[in-house]
Amino acid sequence: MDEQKDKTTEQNITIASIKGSKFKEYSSIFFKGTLSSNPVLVKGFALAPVLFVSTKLKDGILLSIATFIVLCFMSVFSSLIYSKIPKYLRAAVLTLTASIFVTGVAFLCNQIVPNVTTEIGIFIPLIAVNGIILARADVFHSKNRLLPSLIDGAANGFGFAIAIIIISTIREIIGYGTLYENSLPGLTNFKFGFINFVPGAFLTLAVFLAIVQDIRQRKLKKKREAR
Amino acid sequence: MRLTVGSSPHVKHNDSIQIMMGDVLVALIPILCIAFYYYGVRAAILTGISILSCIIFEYLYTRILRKPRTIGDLSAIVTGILIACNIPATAPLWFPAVGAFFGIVIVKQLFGGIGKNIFNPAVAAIVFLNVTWQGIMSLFPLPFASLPWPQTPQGFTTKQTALAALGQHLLPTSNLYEMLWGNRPGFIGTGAILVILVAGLYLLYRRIINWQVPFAFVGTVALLAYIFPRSPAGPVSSMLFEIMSGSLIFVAIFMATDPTTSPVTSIGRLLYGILCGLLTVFIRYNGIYPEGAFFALLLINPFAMSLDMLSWKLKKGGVVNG
Repeated sequence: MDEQKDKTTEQNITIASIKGSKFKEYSSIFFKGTLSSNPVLVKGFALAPVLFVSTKLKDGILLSIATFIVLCFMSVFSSLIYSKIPKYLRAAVLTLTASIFVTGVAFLCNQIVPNVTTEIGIFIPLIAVNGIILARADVFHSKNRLLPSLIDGAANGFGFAIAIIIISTIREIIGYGTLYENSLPGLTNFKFGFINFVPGAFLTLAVFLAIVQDIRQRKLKKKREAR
Repeated sequence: MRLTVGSSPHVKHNDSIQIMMGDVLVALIPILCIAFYYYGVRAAILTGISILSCIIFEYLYTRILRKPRTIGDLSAIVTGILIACNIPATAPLWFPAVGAFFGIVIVKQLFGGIGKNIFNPAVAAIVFLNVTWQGIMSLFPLPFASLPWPQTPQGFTTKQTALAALGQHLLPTSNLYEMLWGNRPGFIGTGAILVILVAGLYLLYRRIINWQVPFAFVGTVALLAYIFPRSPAGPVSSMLFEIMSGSLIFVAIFMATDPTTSPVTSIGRLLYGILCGLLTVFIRYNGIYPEGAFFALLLINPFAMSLDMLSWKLKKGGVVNG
């Protein structure tokens, strides 16, 4: 249902863009991708990396940078080629192309920050099968020109980064008493190990999803009342 | 015609939950008395803090979110006592309060309050404390040790528990007759096997609990301990030590029979107990935690409804309505 709505609204945006000003359209795409339909906190894509890599801020930042780069490349690729691929091959082609970009990004990460990369482990290669890439390609990139697609890919990568950075900041402060591996004043001996386990990750994520849903519902209510 | 049976507990008369919880409270009083006899003032204060914080968290939650008040059904008090019974007497004073917050707010109320929670709040709270502060939860004082009560006791004498000894394939040093009375290092309220059994019989007589779940739970553990002995003195001693050490009997009688999170059909109850027992033995033998009963119960809790469905299917020969 949500997907369907999304498709129609996004098509409307493209139709409007032919008439209206470009800047307004692009900023609305960016705002939508980052905040109002955030890929993690609103749509629920790519929950596994958010749950498992968010124990420390460093890991979260590295993973979000890697995902951001791959998403930008993939948005360009899928806006150019996606609609020309036969339907039954789309997912396979997209995943294989993503894995090419991921190989490069993983190599770079390994060269620049080897320690953090080994800590994240499998989740950097797993960007290739990230749900955001496939979903955005299907819904948005395939139906839009290059620049809007690139902006949308970047916005979604940015939204993913926002979610994982917020959650990993909170989990690192509570779980280890540190921030970016610097000890915080007053929290030197503080350690609440539960938050570093999987149930702690689920609880933190659930709290954020609840907050975001609350904000969304209130905004929707206001819109309805305004009508 | 479709027969739709909702999840338990089913209301028989108006004050059902209150009367049930009152009976459980009556059954818990002798256990608490013997706990205070062994561990003194500190055990009483920990229990008091646990009960008080459960009531306060439940009140605050219902007050802030404007839900109907549910303190009157006494379930928060029972949860508080169950949490307090399963922590060591040397725990710091904030310890049961944290467990109470997790049990009442996150596990019970966020899932919809009494009758709608899929996990037993007390068990979830104890597992939470076990996972987070394993050091505190695995140091047990000896009974009759004089413990200071405002400050956290340190440097008290402790002894290897029976489960820890069995984990290293040693013969436990505890005397079996003394273990029956709870005179062994352990949690506050789970030692006195005889008292717990009498309390269980009282609850069985009042029809608050059923015999299937505890029987299948403890029976499975006993059978598996007999077949695969960990004690060097042979299968019978292994069986007796496995049953009487840890908090297996307490968990089987007071926590596994929670009407919200256990099945309502008798086949379902037997299966539930057997699965709990299997997992308990598995976790005790292979896990890093010495006591597996809470973990096993928490893992089986969400399957209560499915086990009911399964048992209806077995009875009707394949057609399930509802």
